[in-house]
Amino acid sequence: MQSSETSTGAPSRPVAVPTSLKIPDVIKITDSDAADDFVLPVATIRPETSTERLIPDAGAAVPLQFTAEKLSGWLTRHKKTLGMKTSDRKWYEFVDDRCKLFVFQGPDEPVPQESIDIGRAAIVVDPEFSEKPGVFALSIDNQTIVLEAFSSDEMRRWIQELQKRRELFLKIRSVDTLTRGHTYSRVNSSNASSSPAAVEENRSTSAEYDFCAQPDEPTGLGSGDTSASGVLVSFDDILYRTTKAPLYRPDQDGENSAGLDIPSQHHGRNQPSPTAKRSENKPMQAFRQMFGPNKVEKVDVKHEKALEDRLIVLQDELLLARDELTAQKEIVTVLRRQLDFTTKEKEALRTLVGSTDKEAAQMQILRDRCRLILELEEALQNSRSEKDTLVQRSEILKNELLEMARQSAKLRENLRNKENAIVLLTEQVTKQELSGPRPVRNGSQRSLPDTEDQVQKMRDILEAYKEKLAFLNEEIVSQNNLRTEMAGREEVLLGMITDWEAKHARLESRLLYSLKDMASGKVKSILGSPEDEVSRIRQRILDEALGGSEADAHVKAVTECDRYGFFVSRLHYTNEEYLERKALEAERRQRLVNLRKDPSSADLSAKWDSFLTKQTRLLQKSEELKNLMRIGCPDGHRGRVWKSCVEWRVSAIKTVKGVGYYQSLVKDTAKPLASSAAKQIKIDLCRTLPNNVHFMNMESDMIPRLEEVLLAFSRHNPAVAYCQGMNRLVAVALLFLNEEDAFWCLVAIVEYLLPGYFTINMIEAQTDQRIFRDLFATKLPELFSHLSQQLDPTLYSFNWFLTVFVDNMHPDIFLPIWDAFLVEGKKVLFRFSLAMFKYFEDVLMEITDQNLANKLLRNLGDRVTDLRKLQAIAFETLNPFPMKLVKARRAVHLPEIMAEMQQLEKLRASVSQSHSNSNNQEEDDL
Amino acid sequence: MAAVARNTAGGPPSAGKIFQFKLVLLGEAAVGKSSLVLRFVKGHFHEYQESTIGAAFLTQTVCLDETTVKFEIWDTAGQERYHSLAPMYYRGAQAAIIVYDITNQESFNKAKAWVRELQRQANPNIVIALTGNKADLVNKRTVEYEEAQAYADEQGLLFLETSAKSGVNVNELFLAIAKKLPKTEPAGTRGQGQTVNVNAAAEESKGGCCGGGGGSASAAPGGAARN
Repeated sequence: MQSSETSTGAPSRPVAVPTSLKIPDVIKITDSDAADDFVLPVATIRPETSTERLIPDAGAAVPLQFTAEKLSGWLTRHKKTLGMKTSDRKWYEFVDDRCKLFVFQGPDEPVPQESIDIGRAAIVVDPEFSEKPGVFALSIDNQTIVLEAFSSDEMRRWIQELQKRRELFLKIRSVDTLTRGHTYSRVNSSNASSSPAAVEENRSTSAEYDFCAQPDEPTGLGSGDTSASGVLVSFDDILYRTTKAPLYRPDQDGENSAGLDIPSQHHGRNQPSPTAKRSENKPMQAFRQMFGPNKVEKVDVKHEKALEDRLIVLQDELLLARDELTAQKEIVTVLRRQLDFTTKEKEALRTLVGSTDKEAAQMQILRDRCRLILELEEALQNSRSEKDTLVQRSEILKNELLEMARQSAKLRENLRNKENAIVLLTEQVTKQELSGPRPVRNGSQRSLPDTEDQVQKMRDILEAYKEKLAFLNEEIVSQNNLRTEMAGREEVLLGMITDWEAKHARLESRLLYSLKDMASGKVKSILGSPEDEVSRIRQRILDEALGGSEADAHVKAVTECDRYGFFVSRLHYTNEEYLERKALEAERRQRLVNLRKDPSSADLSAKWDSFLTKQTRLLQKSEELKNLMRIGCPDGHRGRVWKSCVEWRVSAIKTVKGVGYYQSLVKDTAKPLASSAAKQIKIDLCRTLPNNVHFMNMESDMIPRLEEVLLAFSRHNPAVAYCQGMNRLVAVALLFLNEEDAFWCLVAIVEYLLPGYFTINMIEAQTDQRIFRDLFATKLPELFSHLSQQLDPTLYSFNWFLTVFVDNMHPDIFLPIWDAFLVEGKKVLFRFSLAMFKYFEDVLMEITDQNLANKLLRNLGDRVTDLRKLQAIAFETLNPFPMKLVKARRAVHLPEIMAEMQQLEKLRASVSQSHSNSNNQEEDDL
Repeated sequence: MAAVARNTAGGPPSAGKIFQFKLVLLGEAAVGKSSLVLRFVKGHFHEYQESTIGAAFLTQTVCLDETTVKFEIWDTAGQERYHSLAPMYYRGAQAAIIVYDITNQESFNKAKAWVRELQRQANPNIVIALTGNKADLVNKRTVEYEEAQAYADEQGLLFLETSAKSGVNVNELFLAIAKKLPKTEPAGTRGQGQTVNVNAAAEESKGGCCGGGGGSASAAPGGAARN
């Protein structure tokens, strides 16, 4: 009855899939390997008709026909009917597509006697059946079918196979119902037992099925067991949750994140680290871009990156493993509770079995539970071992992590060092760029080593140059010493040369004097040699001494002029005089050289320099300048100093006349001019300084300027107009000043320094000559008395006063006199005129012949060779110079002369009157 | 050629007495006073002779027959304002040469003025010679020879036309003066109006003839004077 019930109910009754059984999930949550194994049989399912009859071998020794296609075999069924135990042996065959166990009389029997719906059955191995090792039970709807296999092994195989096939059936049916309803296919599970994973899976699925099926049992654990089912449900949930976790792997992140409920904390933990890593990489990349691919560093960085990535993975794995471990622990806890629960249930069932009729069934259930417990314990064991491995793995990962951290720290240290180095190098580069004009270009990869090389090279070159410089400095010093030595020697030699020249010239002049004497017949022929021969020899010597004919003398003179343009023209002198002049010239030159050698001259030029640097362009009158000018002004400064001296005198009149006065005088040709003055000026132009190249003829450069200045002055001062002598003053001024300054210089001399000298009767000039004569008599009484027996000294001094010594005097002598004169005025003329006589006092005292004295005095200026001696006489020997006397004498002489002049004028007037009268008389007579 | 006077010192031995005379040159500026003296004393001539300031003093000796005449020559400045100095030089002079420029009429007029002044003011016995210089510039002549000759005759002056440039009649001029000067007192005594009789014109042979320089004022023109 039971069987019919089951058989009838089996086809019609739809298989209820427990809602808690989420098979696809279960499939999914298994290991990927297990899933693959599972999928494979699905692919190899062979469709079989339900009507196909699979007949096992009847006389087979093997009680269980256990093939890939079919589960069938002999089993003995034990029944307890009315307290009586019966057992009959039948052929049991499992039909996969129905999930039913059909009972046949024998393997060849076509019609089954009975069918057992395995899909709804719970397979129980009751420990109570332990005396019979091959016994197991199938309980369906409070009905228990006890079956016995030949051995416990065979029983286990039966149970396993049944479980497996039932599971397969249920799964396929659920898929089919989901897709196309009732299409059944036979599932091939040929290698179900071949892999341990499959076994394990089977066990777990069966266990699950059992757990899940449990609440469906109407007569399950009674009404009081809600807590147990609650536990089961919660267990299920936990299972679901924990098994889901291992799927969540970083490498599957992208694929699974969409379809799976990813816990946010995983993201939170995982996501930031790569980005952080990336942000950490940024400076590195920047440096790499800056300094190019530093290979070693790149490798390091790459390596480090890989390590870091791996570290992250490992950290994630570690976390996952920890989670897994936690889940497993939970499972274990749950399982323990389950175990406790089942133990309790077992106890309850045992009591139930003991008290109720359904004791056996309950026992069966208990046995099932026991088996389940065993299985769970096994699972627990597995989990524990898994947990251990996970712990171990976590330990390993921890170690790895530590290692990684250490490496990372090391690399970081490395990186920091490198960064520092880079910063240092960057600073150096910047410095070099700033300091040196050599910008590092063409990419930084070459610049660093190149720059270092260059720096080294430059240093070497610098060293070389330093050495060279030191050597050259030494060379310069030594060369300078040599040069100084040579200069000193040259100076000495020049002095010697000049000495010799002077000596030579002196000898020459003496020779020529002798020759002159011979020529004049003073020396008669000596040794009785024929006179014509003597004269011939004499002539030859003379010609040699004169150096050429008179014809080219003029040309020669021009080329031999001094620095002021003066020359000695042979045409102006007799041969003897000419030679004498040459001798004097040489002597003067010698003295000049000696002066130059004298240290006092160096002092003098230093004094001048220091004085002039203190002054403004226009010098002020001072005692210092006066003293300096008494010695004489250097040629280079003469123009400036003279201009200043002139300025002191004429600044007032210049201010009155205004700027451009001189120019207006030059241009104002319409202004009436004394014709005699202009005429005289014209005549005198070339008679001014004919022994100077600038004035020697009408074509000479300064002749027009001379005329311009003289004409301007004649317009400026018609009363004076032009007086002979002024032309020489202007000519000398023009040697150092321009036309305008020369004009003002003439104004200064004519109107301020020597007033009344150049006026109509030259009264002042005449007066001063008489004063001079008195002065001479006072200061040099012996010489005066000696000379005045023969001639009047004013015959010569008048010239000196009027031309300021220009007439018949060498420029080396008269220019220093001019210097002093421009500062101090007329008294300088008295001093130097007296000094001239004093200079030659000894010579003059010896001369008694008037002619000789005259000759000497006429050329007195030319004969002065020692300027310093002359200056010393003028400013020292003649001191005290009594200007009081000068004034006193002037008071006497001036009225005298004025009276004389009046008388003369009267006379001339009367002469001209008488002349015209007589003329008239004559005319009358006629 | 012009060494006549200069070399007289070496002339005839014991030429008798030496007479010394003071001679002054007067005349307008730039007529050639200095050039005449230079020609006479040194035998030189310069195109551009420096203008004389005040006066220049030179000496020269002329040898006549048996006598030697030494001239103290005072060459004065020609510009008018120096004329105030002139009395200083012509005072005590026994001889005077008044020079004019034959190309310059004004200078001839000025010469006349000098003649009058000397006649009034100077030594009464002064020997005055009128000289027309720059005779080489005949083309530019403005003062006729006859006019000057007539004037000289009238005033009792020696007259010669000379050329300092060419040297014509320069020595003759001085010789004529030397001859005309009264030789009354022996030389060596300096003083005014000293004159020594010149007995013979002891002319040096190579100096050329100066016979044309007689006391007569009717000397031949420069060119004719030379023998």
